[in-house]
Amino acid sequence: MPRTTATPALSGATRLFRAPAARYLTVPVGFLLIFFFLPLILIVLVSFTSSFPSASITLTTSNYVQFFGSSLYRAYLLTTIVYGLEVTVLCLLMGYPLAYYMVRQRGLVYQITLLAVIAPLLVGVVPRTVGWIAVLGTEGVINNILLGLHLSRRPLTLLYNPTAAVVGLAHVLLPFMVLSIASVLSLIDRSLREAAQNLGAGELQIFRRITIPLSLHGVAVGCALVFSLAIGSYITPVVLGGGKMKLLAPLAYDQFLNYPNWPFGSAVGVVLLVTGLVFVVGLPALVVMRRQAAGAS
Amino acid sequence: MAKVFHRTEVVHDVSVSVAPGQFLVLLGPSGSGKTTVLRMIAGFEQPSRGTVWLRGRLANDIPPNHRDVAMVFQHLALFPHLTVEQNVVFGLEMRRVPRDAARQRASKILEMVHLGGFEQRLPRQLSGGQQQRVALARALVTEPTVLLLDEPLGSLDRHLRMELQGEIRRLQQELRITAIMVTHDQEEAMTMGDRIAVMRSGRLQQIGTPADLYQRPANAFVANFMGDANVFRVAPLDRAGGAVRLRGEGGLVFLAGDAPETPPAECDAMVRPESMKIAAAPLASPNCFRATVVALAYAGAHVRCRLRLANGMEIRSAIPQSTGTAPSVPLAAGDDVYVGWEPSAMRILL
Repeated sequence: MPRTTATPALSGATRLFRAPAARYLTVPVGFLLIFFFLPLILIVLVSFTSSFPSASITLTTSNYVQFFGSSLYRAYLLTTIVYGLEVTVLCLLMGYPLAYYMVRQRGLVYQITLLAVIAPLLVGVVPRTVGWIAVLGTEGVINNILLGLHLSRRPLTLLYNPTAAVVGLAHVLLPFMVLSIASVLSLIDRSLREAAQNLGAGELQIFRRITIPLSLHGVAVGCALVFSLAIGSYITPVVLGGGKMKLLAPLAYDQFLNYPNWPFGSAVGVVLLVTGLVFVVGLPALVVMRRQAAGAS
Repeated sequence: MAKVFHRTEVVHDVSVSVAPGQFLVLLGPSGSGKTTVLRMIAGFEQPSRGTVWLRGRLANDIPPNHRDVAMVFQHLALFPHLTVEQNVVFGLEMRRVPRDAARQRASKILEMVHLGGFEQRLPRQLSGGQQQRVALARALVTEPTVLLLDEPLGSLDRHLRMELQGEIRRLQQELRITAIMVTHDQEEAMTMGDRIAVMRSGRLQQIGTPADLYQRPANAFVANFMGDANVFRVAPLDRAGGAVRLRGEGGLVFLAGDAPETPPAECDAMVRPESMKIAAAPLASPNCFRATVVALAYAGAHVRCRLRLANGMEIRSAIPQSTGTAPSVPLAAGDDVYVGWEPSAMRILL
């Protein structure tokens, strides 16, 4: 630390540490360190061991070799990524129009719409997932309607397949997409729309040339969020997919609880983490880079 | 046109017309409805009553994107994700002008606003004045029927404003584009407009050339808005050789040359500060009164002087400074002087 009498430019960290409120941060930061970063580091470390917990710990990459060497496990990775993408796309297709509509409302209608979007988050993932059983099941709402209207002679099997898992999870994660997009859409200046109109643009042109480009990073954030949540999702795809889907999250769960094979399970977890990071970090970065390339002076 | 907004009449029965190639300024304080009138012309608001005619055609039902009027917005509304060139060609693209022709026209117009070479910049990389010019170029390049300007220079500093006022006017005349501008700055209005329409609380007060409005304001509001004015509440007495004698407060008698044949029983009469002369001895004109100097303020081109008349009323006079280093007024606060003006400089307002 410089010891001059004039006001020196202390480093940001030093200044923070000396701030009187710093001591109040020790609890939250400590909490994060102990319950978040530490387990994360442990998982990564354990993924490089051959057996854990055990008397002797040897470091090895055999878990990763086993994972990527097996076509079965590679299929798990592929299925997980595809599942994540399917959920994300469905969320985007449903979420964008909803966000667009929501942002154009005022006053009471806006509040109600906002509440309707957020409310599912307050309910919790299990009731919502089970709710889909009530809708899609053989004695569920849809089948009741179809049979009642004599549109079908037998109940349709809508449940316990990958489609149900995609639709159900997209529904669960929809609020994240809607909120990400809506917050960016609401920042678009209204006068830009008028300026475009004034220059001759119709609704479709305004949407294509102004709205979409300016909402793109909201879309990227929403997609990144939904994707990372989707690939780590356990309950919804397992319940609605009938336990038949080969996904990484249930696999890791399985390895930890049922075998148990903590090293391999950890490796699966790390693969999942890295996959998520690639999309969460990579996607917005792509949008930013493309924007810079397009507008470079 | 009339416009009702949230159950308040924002614009009452305003009628204005602009001849081709003319520059009309809608002038008034905030809340006078001038921006609403502009927006009705642009198509962003629908008049509750009345009609908008563009090029002789009824425009009420034409949506804003088909009206061929180009607007420069108060906060510019440049598209932040598009380059200067992309912003400027936007209107041409909407009109299906082929890309090469559009680029050429854009280059030309950018040259005209002194922004040649700025095509690839983004709006956020430009200064306020430069952004202003891009907005102008974007509107002008479409060669619209009417150019609409909504207080475009409000956010700029004084020098930049004056510079751009001149440029806008020059471009408008060169391209012979009809223009309507909204502002609350009377100096800007007088500098730029062929005709000015003064509005207040949704009503049109007066339309005329800058000189008309300044020298022959219709009422006290216009008189005060267009510049400093001394307004006296008076009652006419009789006519005396082409002018009207008026009795003011405290028994002062004025002679007003600029008066209608039969002035109303009670009215306002105004004199501009620059028409007043101050001297140590009585002046030759019939309007000459004793006064005490209350305060003096040196304002470069003239000295502003507040005087109190015998009836207690304070008036303001502006004494032009001749070219020289020292102010040529040997006055000090507290001096007793004579202040006077010609009858022709006094006008009865209604």
